[in-house]
Amino acid sequence: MTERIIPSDQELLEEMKRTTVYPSGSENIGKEPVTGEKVLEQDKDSKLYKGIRVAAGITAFLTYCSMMGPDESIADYVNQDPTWLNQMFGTAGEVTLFLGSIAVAGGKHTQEIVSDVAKATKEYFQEEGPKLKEGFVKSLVNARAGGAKLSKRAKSYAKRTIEAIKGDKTEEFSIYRPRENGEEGVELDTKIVTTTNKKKDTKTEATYKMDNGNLRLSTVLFEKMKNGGKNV
Amino acid sequence: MSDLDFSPLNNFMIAEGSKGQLYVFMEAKGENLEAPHIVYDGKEHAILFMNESSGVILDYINPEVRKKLANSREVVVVETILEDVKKTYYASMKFVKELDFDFSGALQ
Repeated sequence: MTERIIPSDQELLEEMKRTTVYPSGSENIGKEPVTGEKVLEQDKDSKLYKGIRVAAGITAFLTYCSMMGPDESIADYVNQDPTWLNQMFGTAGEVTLFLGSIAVAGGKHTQEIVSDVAKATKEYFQEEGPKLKEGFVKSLVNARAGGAKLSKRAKSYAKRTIEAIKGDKTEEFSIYRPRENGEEGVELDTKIVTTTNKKKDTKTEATYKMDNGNLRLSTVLFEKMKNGGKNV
Repeated sequence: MSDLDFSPLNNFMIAEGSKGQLYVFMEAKGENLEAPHIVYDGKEHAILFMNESSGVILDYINPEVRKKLANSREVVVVETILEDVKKTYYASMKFVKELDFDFSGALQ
């Protein structure tokens, strides 16, 4: 299990104190740099502290993603402490900000990250109520799920992932074990997650495949069930 | 450059974390993000492209952080409304020899 690496409040506070602030902009010509400690003395709840906190959370999260082993998932990260989102950020708005930022910052593996986050936090959002869930959806739709470094394909993944978490029924992982010589396969090869949305008559199927020991999102099929199963 | 929409930013701050990472704290602009990046020549001004056609001009960068900014590969942009963080994202740095931009009109 990869060690959880979200910085603690105390660590963030220390980081804030060690930060140097350079006032800039034509309105601040001639102003000298100040320490974060000084800023903190003046305003404990400053945007500087909040900004560093969010940025540290994103960095920690992405670092975690890059360190994940083949048998780990984002769910492990969340499940270590199901309340970590709130502990870290406090409000639904900040959580959505964080998740939206991940979608921007994820780069190469954004589609896997967005999808895994959606999956792993699905239950959490359901428990925390529609406001938080709605905020999360919005953050993916509006903020940045389709922006930044995301490719067209990744945008499509993100959109379909949103459909998935909006669904009203998600089936458990189906685990395919390839058979050889009549034997049950022993190595996990592919995982499939299907989500249906009865209201919209849609079904989303995400396929994960092993890639150099890592489980990667391979394909996402978004099906309009009333449309004869045609993928769109 | 006539189709571009860039407004000057006259009040912002750049923060440097203990490990050298840079943050740009600025007023939220509400632009759509598409591969955000900063074009900089190491001098007074830089341009933050939030997408292909719009962004802000970072008008006057504190002299003491210019070299660090010029040597950074990416910065964390934190957009705020009053004291609340509205948006946070990474912007890659693109260093150019000289910014080909007429600031005289844009900054008025």
